[in-house]
Amino acid sequence: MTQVVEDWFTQRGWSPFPFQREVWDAYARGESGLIHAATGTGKTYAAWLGPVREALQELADGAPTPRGKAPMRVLWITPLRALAADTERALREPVDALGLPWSIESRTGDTKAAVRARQRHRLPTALVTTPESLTLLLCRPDHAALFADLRCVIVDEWHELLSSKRGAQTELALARLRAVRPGLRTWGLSATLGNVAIARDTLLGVSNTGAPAGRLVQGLVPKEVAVESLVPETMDTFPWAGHLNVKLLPQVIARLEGAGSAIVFTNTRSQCELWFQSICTARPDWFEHTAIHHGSLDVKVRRSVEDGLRSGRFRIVVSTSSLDLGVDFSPVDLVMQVGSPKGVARLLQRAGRSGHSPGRVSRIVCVPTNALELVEVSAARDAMRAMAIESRDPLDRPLDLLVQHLVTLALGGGFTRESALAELRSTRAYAQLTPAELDWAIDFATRGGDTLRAYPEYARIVETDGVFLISNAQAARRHVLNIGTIVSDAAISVRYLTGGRIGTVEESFVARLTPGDVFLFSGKALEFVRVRDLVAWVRKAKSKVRAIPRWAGARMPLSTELASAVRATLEAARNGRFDTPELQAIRPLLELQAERSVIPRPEELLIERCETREGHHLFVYPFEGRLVHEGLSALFAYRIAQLAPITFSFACNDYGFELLSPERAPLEEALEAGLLSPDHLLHDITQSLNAAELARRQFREIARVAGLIFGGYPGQQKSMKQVQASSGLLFDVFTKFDPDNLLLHQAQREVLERQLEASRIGRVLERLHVSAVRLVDVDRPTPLCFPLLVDRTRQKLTTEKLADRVRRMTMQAEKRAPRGRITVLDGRRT
Amino acid sequence: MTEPLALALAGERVVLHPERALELPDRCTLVIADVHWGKATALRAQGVPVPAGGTSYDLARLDTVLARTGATSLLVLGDLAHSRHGWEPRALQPVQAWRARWPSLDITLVRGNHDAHAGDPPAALEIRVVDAPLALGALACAHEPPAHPTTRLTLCGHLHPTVRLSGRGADRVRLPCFVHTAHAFILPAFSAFTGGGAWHPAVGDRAYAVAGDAVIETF
Repeated sequence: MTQVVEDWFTQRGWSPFPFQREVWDAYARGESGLIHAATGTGKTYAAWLGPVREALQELADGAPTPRGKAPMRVLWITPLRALAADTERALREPVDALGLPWSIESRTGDTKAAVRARQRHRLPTALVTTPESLTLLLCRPDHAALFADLRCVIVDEWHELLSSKRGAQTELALARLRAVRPGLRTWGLSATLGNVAIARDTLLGVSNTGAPAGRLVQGLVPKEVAVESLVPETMDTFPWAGHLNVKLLPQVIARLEGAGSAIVFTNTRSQCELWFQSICTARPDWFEHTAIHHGSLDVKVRRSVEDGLRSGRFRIVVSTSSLDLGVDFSPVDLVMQVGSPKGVARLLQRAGRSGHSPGRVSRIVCVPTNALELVEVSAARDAMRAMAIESRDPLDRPLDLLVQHLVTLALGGGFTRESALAELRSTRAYAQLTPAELDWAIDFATRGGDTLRAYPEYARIVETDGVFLISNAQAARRHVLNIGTIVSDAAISVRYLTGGRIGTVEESFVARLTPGDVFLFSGKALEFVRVRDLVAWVRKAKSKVRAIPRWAGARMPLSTELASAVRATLEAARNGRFDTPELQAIRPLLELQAERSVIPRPEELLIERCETREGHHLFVYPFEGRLVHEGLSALFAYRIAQLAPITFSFACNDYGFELLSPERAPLEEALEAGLLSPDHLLHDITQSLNAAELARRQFREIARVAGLIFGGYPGQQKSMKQVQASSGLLFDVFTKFDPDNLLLHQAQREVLERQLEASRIGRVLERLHVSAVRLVDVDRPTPLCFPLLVDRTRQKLTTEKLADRVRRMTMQAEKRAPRGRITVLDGRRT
Repeated sequence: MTEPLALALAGERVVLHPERALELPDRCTLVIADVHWGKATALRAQGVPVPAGGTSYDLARLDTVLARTGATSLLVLGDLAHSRHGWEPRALQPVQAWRARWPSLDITLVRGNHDAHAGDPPAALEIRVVDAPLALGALACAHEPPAHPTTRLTLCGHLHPTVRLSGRGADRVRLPCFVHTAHAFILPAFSAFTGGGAWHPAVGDRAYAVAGDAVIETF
């Protein structure tokens, strides 16, 4: 049967790569594994044709041909529902050509009700779905029968899921499927990672039979990648901070002019809107062939852009990471990256969108939006040459997800304590789960935990003779609507008065609009008319644009690998080595830094201090990336505030952090008292994250996943205010009345380990502890401190009495924006 | 050290307490608004696992301020119960225990929008229930602020007002507050289990922020 598949390749003018043959043979022997390679190098068919060859072989061996289409046998899991349609198309091609009686369909949040209803009775031979939709299928009591013929699960873009709760959710779903179908084969597709073996082990789960670990297949070795950047002609007018400027537009236009087709990648949706608008304004004649693509646009709009990109109708697409994943189209001539790529893997991924054919060079042109991004581009190129690619670490025992999954198991036919423990421990995420933790989670789903013992009206699952089942229809309905781990703000749908859907924006943005305001969305100037029942009604605007929506989300931090490359690059510059075009360009700025302050040596910690109208500033530069700085800034604030009552607000970026206080902070005393000491680190950092309310913020996601907050029923027009409680309020109530609740502990653990990377903070402190502190009093902002000085996103830590703070403060008068005007929002968040 | 704040309203002496209560010392009366008994129970009934203790915490705060002021009357400006769940036996239990601690306290409830749905309190609690407005000297007492300008100043709640303050060092804070507007004097929500509303005092209003154990006039 190998020959039929090989022939199909030959007919298409291809020849199978050795790694594809390796996967097919391994699959035929019943093996599982992970395939890792760059985008667009044939991973899809490496995984897909294994099951296809098997089916062809069975037919040739005289297996009975089923009437109609063959029953469900392959599951294809994709992280983005937007990818499902493309995947479906790609999978169908060889199946149709080879004449297999297979049906291939997708089932995601976007699937039409009629198709869902049909699938309720009979699943297709191959189903393309998301982790959330798969979990929903597992909620059916008859799921064992549904998957009775399942042979293989293929998880696409596993690197995207791996280090998130969605990854852990996928692990749990796979464990359930393996319980239903022992011997199930699992194959994962992943981009290149620093830790591919762990990625494979996480996907395949913990074997209790002592079977050999799965196979690790490396795809094609990365093509040659050329990283270039546009460099401002003069640094005099190039901004020191911010991301929303189009200073380099003329150079971008010049490059686009010469390219056949191009993708302009941006880091945020605001940036995406801004650049699309700017390009179209500069070249109205390109408007017809230029498109915009980001995650907030309506799915129909996105589809038509993807189709247009494939058919060649669009020559230029301005996009966010929404085009990073899977979406299949022929390589473009030119890839541009607006802003810093923030990581090596990401740079490689995006560069891979150009020059696909083997042997051709992938080329990416970076467009810095502020001066320091020039350093990052230069550093990213060095890190890429050294192949310092980021790792992604899987999660350890998220208990909020465990509570959710137990309700899924209860709904999907019930579970016993023993069966659940064995099944959960077969995943890598819950391999170390203790019986006590499981009991707590069961108790929480049954009675809401210790403090709710007296409240039988609250119960999601009930125990009968050792079997846990769903308690009632309402609990089932709520659970089904609540499945998943993606937490987002309430999204407001944006629609024309005439009816067309444009996309979604966040509630907080709409709240700041008054009727008559004009904002930029989907590349169009829209006039806000009114908001009613979660729909913002708009019409095409006649006046000029005033605002670009800002979508919330985590800011992208510089990866550890890139942060250390940036330190090396600055050290080279300090030694007078400006040997890349980017460093040449930024030379005057670095010289200014040296003049007003210093460029610190690697064994030095630079602290700049100054006073402005706002208060007293301390700028500290460990150059360790945003995540570490968030933890360090809270730790510094906490330790200094132990010496005297003081209130700090702090801001962080990838280079350092700022502590701002109304009174001068006793820095010298604090250094003397062990500000940089690694002693009592865990105690101090735990105290500081409580004081800075970091765990309170993290609790939002946990509360949502564990079912403490309910998103509401779809189509329910009125808000659920009566039964809603904000996660912040819940956090306070739990802290006060149920301080031992494990979900609170999880919030703390997640902040410590995932957000603040506590173990890294320890290593960084070891380094800083032996560093020489260079304290410089500056009288003017330096190039390094300026981005922090203008950052408005701040955390707070105080040891002052609230009443004392209030007496110092004045009331902010509530100003309503006058009609038709609104301030331009910054786009610092993705 | 608790720091209440004294002022005069329409000729009445008034003391604002940081427990989110208003005292009329000449009438031996304590006024509170938006108590929302049974909110946690209502949430639990919807499947949201809120721990118990909120109502008891609120009641302990009420004990403190009743003891400090020596008030003989309690006036509740609406929304005593969050929903009908507030009158269920389990939610009622700590309330009954509290009532037993203050057997001679004279309690009046001016009905609010939540009370309309929740129904009147059980007779055993001995709470007089009236419709708004209730006249009290030169003041009118109601749940909601008046829709039209009135001659009498209205004491009311309903809005759960909060005030946002900012200062040097990028310091910001949002606090529950009492607000004196042109025609109304609005109390903060008494229940700690309310997030505080999106309603803030505007230019021209006077706001008195509840900052820990002090009430501070913010401008």
